[in-house]
Amino acid sequence: MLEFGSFPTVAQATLVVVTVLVEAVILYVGYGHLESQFAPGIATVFEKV
Amino acid sequence: MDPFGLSPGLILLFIGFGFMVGVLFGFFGMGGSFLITPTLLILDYPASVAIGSGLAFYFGTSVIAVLKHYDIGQVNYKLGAILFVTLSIGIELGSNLVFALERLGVAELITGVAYVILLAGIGILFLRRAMNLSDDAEIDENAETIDEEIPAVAQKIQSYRIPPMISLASGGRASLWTMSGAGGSVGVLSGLLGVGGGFMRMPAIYYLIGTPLTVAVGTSLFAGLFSGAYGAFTYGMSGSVDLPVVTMLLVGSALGARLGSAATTIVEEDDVIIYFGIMMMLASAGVGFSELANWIGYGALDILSVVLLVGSSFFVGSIILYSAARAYSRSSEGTTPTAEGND
Repeated sequence: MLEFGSFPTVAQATLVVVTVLVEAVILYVGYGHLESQFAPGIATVFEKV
Repeated sequence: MDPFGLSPGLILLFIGFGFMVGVLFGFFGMGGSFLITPTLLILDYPASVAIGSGLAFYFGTSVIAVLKHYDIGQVNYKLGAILFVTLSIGIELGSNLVFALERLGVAELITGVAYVILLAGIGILFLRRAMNLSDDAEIDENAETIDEEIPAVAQKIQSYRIPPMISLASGGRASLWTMSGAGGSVGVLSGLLGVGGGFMRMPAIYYLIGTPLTVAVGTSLFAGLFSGAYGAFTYGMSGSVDLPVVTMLLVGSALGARLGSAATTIVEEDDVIIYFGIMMMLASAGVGFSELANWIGYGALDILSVVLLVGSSFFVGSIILYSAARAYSRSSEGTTPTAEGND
């Protein structure tokens, strides 16, 4: 588990904001990549169903 | 050993719930933090942690929204900067109020009651809109005119010319006091309830300050991104953001939002809007039952409140996904479904 409790409060709060920012960017880029890779295949499955 | 300090069951719940919230709000174009905070409250997280985590979740979804609309429409940066400052002051006031209520031991009760009212209010608005849709079908020609009419109260507020007046790049002038009032009051609600407030911020910019709709959307997104960061920072200062919870919710939500957003091209919003209204009413009842459970000490009501809040989100999210899958299958059979649902 990420434990920021030992940091000073301002550093702790900054780390929270930066962590959420980085997570959001990674998720956006990562899911975008997955979408471009797998979306056509999933669409084909739906067409068959 | 529990990874991230959460049990496997909770990890699944948060990812799954985040996914359904993402589907719902990708489809309806909202942030969804106003379902996250009450869920955490029902799961017995302290009010400040539920609110702080809700705001951090909102910040994450705002980052994704800005990345998606990287040009963020037309942003009025002067207005955005003023709103950011006033929103931040409001958030600071709201968060201080939460910490003061926690010291008095009534924070959970007050935020719970506020959520019962807020969710029911949003539910009623959506149910009314769903009912009006059937009437609008008969007077379709007039519907757009009605939607774009500025309410009399908003026209009255726009007419006040209390100096200093600020010139807006998009044309027109607005009183600094109107801007500050709109930003400050939305900020207090954000800080107090942990909601992003986009559903209040955008109409406030459009109706009270009087910018064009595209500028209102872009400026709301711009101001929301920075105020979300400020809200997460404020609650992060007191260690009131549960990062593992926020991470799990974002993992689900970022994927769900993609599917929900894609579904808007093949499923008509009007077809499912009534379910969304009902879901918000059930969510309101869920928070109410949770408060009642705390009050009378009857734990079974807590289970009912989780079922109502989380279950109704899963149900409506599933309806959207099912409708999208069905519409897509039909299109591949040769018929051409449209976003208007009149295939």
